[in-house]
Amino acid sequence: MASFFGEVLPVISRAVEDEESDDEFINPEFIWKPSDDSGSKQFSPNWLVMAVGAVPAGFLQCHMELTNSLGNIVEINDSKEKTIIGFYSSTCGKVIYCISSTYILPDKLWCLVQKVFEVVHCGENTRVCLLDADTVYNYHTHSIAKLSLPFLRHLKTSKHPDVPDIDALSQPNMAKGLTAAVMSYCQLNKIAAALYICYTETVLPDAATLLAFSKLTGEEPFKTSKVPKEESLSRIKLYLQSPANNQTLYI
Amino acid sequence: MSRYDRAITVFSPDGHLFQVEYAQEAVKKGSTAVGVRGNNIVVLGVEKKSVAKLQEERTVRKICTMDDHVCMAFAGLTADARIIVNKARIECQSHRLTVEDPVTIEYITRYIATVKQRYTQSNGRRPFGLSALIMGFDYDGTPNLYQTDPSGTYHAWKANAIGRSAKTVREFLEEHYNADIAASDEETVKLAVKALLEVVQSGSKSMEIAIMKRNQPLKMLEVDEVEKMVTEIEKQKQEEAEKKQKKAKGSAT
Repeated sequence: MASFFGEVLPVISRAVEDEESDDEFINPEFIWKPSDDSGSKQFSPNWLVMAVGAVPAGFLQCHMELTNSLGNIVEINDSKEKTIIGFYSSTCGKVIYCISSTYILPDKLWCLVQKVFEVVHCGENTRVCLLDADTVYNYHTHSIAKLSLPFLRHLKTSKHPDVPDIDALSQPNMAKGLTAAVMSYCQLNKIAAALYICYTETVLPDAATLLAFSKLTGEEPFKTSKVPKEESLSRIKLYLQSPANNQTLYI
Repeated sequence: MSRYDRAITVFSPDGHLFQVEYAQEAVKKGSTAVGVRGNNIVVLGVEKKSVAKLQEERTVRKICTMDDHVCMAFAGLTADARIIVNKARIECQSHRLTVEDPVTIEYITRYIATVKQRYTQSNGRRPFGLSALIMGFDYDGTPNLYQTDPSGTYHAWKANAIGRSAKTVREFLEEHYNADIAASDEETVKLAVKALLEVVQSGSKSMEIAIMKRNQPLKMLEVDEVEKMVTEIEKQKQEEAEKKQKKAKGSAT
């Protein structure tokens, strides 16, 4: 293309034929793989606790009795299976814990959420508790210097009772990812649900961040299933020594 | 913000050097280190990093000597720490050869800070993602504790902390440090241990304490010495808590 000043500019022609897009959305395939003991029945717990991310998952593994593995939701991709969410039940059987440390693409979230609620039936009295974590640098506030880390913020559905001890997540901060999708589902289906987001200095698990949710351990559903303090400390030590968490970049 | 945070040599319109600020965030990813200066002793305490099963523990060190009378604890990028320590060690020996005197703590701190600052003003480089606590005794017997950060600034401190949860530890030190503690060697060491216990979850096994007294080389405290101190401190805390409870009951009745 020649410009007004006589120079020739490279311009891509807009006169092209629209080809059919090859990127058609294909419904992701999530299947429920029960463990040997649980079978393929639907679960109807009093509490559903979902931990999404390394820090909430580490918190549950170090502080809670996750005795019985119920199964996993796996994603089938090119005949390969990838575990997305692991399901565990508490000793009393009234609480189901879901742990997910994998990043899930936004366009797959809704299918995954529907799969979760196919496996777990939430009745009128079922409560959902979601745990998520983020770095404090993604938290928008005027006075970040006044905040002592880590700190919790909550969001709840309209059916959930008030959460008095923990501040609500204020605008313009937002919940994202799987926990946000589950909250939306719960709000639409009138399920009592609360999401607790912990803002920490770092999203990599360390001893301090693994204690980040300890404010919740005095309440249900964590009160009945938590392990003694000495055992949780030794579990934290083991968890941090695992190869996935042992990185040598920082000292 | 993204237009001004890629090149170290570019200021943002509101005067930030984002790469330097990001380097300071890298420091917070390192484990905690605390330094306390007494009248006759200087103490460095660090949170020991968990070591992989097949890893040689002696090669994972957060406290390094730079000369017989100077040592340093650091927090941040491991590789950057090794470069700075090597440069500082060479400078310490070069100074001895040139002027036939050991470096003062201020001199070597200034040297390290100058190196760091140079890296904040050069194209094609990035700042060191490292903060350091440098302690030791000058030849006149004065104890010193200095802190440097990625921007290249340095200051002298009576007590300070760097790394993860440094703010919590610093607040503890501000509350508890006083002239009486500085006058006693034992209390100075105890203060460093207490400050670390604020953030280290698994007690004495996750700490390393180094002390330096006048005209003596650096001494790393043995594990059982640290454990004994931690037990004493926890006993004291319990006694104080019981006293408070009794007082509260007494005033209630």
